[in-house]
Amino acid sequence: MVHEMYEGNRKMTVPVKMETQGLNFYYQEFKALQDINIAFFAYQVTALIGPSGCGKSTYLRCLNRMNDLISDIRVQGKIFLDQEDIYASDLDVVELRRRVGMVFQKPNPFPKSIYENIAYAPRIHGLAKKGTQMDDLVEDSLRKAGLWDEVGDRLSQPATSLSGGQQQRLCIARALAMDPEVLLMDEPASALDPLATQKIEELIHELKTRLTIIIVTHNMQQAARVSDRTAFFYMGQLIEIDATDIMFTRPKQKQTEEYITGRFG
Amino acid sequence: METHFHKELEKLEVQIMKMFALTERALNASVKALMERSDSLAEEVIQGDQAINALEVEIEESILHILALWQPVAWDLRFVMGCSKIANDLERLGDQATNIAERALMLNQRPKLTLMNAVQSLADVSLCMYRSVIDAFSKLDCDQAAQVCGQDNTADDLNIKIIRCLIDFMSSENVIVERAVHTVIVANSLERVGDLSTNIAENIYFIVQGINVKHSNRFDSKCS
Repeated sequence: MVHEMYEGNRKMTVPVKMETQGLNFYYQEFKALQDINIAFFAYQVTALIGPSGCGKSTYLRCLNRMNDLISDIRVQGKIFLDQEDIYASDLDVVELRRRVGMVFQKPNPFPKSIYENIAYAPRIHGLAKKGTQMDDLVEDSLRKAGLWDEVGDRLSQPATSLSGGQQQRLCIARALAMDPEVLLMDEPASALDPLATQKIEELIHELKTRLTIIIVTHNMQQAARVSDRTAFFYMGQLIEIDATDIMFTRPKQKQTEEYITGRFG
Repeated sequence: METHFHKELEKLEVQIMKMFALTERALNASVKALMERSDSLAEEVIQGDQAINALEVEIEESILHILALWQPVAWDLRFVMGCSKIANDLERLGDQATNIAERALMLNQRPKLTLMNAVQSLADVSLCMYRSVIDAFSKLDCDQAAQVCGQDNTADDLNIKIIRCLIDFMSSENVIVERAVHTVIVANSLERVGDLSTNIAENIYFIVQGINVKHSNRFDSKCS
């Protein structure tokens, strides 16, 4: 599927990796998301911004069905991954979560060695069975996450011995080991210091050559720095989505302008 | 809720309004010094340019501070960027006032040219544009800014007429060459007042609408 858009007067077609159509989401009777329509372009970073409780994290968790783990929720509308409905009855949710990986706000390494954190999921999925394949996969994932040079000589040490920033990059490496096509990031740098944050942001720039990335962030400057497109959510509604440079220089909606300039409420 | 950042923006706006006022006073005084042949007024304008230059530096420091500490976006970013360019144009307007005052000191020493009525007409148009652009900035009114841009051709035409007349005079009467050259410089300075007022108007449009209308004809269509 492609999306048609204009850059100046030039018509362009952009491949769409994921898309939600008329998405509504309920926690019991509370409607947390209302009629959300977004197309996520392949190999681009889309930032989701908005005040706390606006529904952006709920929306993010819909994209790999993480909300299924919560009782009393209801989803209406369609979510497509490469035009395939991810809520179709015959869809393999485990395979969906392999294709759509996730990184959370707080680093959450397994209480195992650095090596085992990466190898755990590929082993369960039967990947990298022969000889040194697993070693290669661990090294490759750590290199992609920009962590190999820092931990390559101490893979047997506990992952919890790493710094917060290193732990978060380990979690990214762990997600990358499953060769995902989309990476969901829920405030991945909010618990990190500025240097660790910078490393995560640089990593996002590198990863988007291989992946489609959707990131929730409360940090406006971070959204401006790392994303190609930005979506503004408010009270469960998508208020505006556009190219990030447009959103941060001349947004079309007054609510967007008021939020990003701190005049909200 | 008014934040410290918004107070910084208000402070910047006050600085720009102060620079508008100082420059307006300098322009009015320079034209008056020329028309009423007042050397003391001309000297005042020349001395006063330092205050305008100092205010430009002060505004640049404020803008640097805002950009470094607050990283403004959207309307705030456009306002700060627009103010930076407006301050630069105001400093140049101050220079034009100084140019006119310096020429006045020369011209006041010699008999008055009959053409000075035409120079007064050009000054009226240019100063009217400048006053309108102050008003447009204070209200952030892009319709009024568009009207300023529409007047620029009138100032250009008057300047060309004055220069043609002066060339004719110089061809027939060698004795007025020196005064004519000074008057050409005055006319050009007044025409530049119109140009710089237009630049400011374009920046006001950018702040309000987020659209860059420089070097294009889009202004008329957007504001009509």
